Amino acid sequence: MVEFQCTVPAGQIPQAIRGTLVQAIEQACGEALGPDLLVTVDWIDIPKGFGFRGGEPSKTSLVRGKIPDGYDSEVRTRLLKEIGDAWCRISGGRQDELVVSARDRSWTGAGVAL
Amino acid sequence: MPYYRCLTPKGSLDHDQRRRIATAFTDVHCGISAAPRNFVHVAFFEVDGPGAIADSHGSGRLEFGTPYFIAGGNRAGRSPAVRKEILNGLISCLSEIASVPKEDVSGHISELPASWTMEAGEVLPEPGEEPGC
Repeated sequence: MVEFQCTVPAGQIPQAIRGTLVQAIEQACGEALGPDLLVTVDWIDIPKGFGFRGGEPSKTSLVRGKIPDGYDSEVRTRLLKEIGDAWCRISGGRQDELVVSARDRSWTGAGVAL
Repeated sequence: MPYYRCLTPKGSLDHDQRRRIATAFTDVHCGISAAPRNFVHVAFFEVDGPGAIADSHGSGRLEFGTPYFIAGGNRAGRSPAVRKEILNGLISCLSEIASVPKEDVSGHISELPASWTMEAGEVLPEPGEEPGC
């Protein structure tokens, strides 16, 4: 199973193109990771005044995913680039306003807490 | 990319406070890590109270019992001491700007290998290999 979460500034990605973006993510996963993987995509809209980048209001979308373990760096990089290219082509956005990541499902994050 | 999510009680912060906290988080992160400032993302989420949120850089959920919580995610490769230094700095900033005791703020920082993230069309470099702030 593949899970992607798209965190976007409110108003930046119209509802009308979200279906096309989901299809593009599904297609990129199929081409890079292989067929028959269930792909889910969720959306989080960050209201104006609640998202920042470098201390300034953010126009950046974060597309973060969890993929099955075991893919090498070449496959992962291909997936990231295919999603990034499709996202910019469909949304008209710029690559420097987009972050795409794909982590292994079992990755624990090796966290520190206070 | 550093991604810090601030979970705060509903209506507790105004826009100016959020902006100041985002700038302070950027200062803390870049002051300790030497990452470029525009790498640092900060988002605010208003919540009803203590609870849990999905880890942005791991597979689990992060439970929190304080009114304010910082859920952070960074590139892997820094020592636990450095990660704690960053988190402690973030907690101090949030506490000061929100005017709440530090005991009301907790946090967690997870990490991902840099090569698992692409920003501006390029796979991210490992910590210490990037251009300076």
